[in-house]
Amino acid sequence: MEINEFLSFFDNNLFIKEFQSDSPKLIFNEIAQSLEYNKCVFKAEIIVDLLEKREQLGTTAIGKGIAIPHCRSMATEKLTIVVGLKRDGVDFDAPDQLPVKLIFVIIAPPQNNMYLPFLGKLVEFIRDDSIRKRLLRVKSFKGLKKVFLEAGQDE
Amino acid sequence: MNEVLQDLVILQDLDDMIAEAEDTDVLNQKKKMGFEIKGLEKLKEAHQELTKKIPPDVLNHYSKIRKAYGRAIAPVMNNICLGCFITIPTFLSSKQMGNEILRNCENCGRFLYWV
Repeated sequence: MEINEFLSFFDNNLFIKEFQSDSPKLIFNEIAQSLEYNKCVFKAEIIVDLLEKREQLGTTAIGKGIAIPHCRSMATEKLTIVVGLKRDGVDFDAPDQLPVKLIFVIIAPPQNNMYLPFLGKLVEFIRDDSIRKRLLRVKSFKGLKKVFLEAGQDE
Repeated sequence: MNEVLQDLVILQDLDDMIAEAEDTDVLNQKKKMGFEIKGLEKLKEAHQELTKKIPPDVLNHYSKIRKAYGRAIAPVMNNICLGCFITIPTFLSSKQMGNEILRNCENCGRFLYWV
């Protein structure tokens, strides 16, 4: 996936500077409310329920302070990404037990074929130590895009 | 939103989530990315619990349509059922009323929801 296509899925309105809650369930609620407010899903409760159930399948925390909750849902019409920060961290039952400070949520409609390529590209970026460290320091949507853009240009 | 319709949307999403978790190709891709899928039984239990909330006749229809088409619920956009691409009769197609009432496409039988 090209970097410009990758970046096209991010939305300034779906960047949450700091989650107010300190449990995954309540954070999912904040995310779903933001999605509903921005008319990206037609019912917030569906997304909260699905993200919670997705965690039952196995944690979506991938370690080193980052989680990527993801699921497909008919509640959305297009691949939708929410990014949010929790400076103090939140327990996501991560494999390395570290608190999660940066959350990328991916919601895709059932037959969207960009879902797995996007997820794969995101994980690829996050696995790079220097990109991940920069991502964990971002404070704004502009900063987030800048990190990905520079990382993409270096490839 | 109609409570049964909301449960049906979640049920369909859960069916898809379970199918994806059982798909070896997807599973391998996810494992390579670092996601461990270990709670499939838990998810199936949650699915089972949800089915108990849905009236039996609705659930039977859902199962029948899902078996026939793979997907038992279809979105409606611009008055068109996106399951079979038939125009929904005007008296059925109010977006305001749409998700408050459980309705089926008169052509394919899928449950309809308005996006």
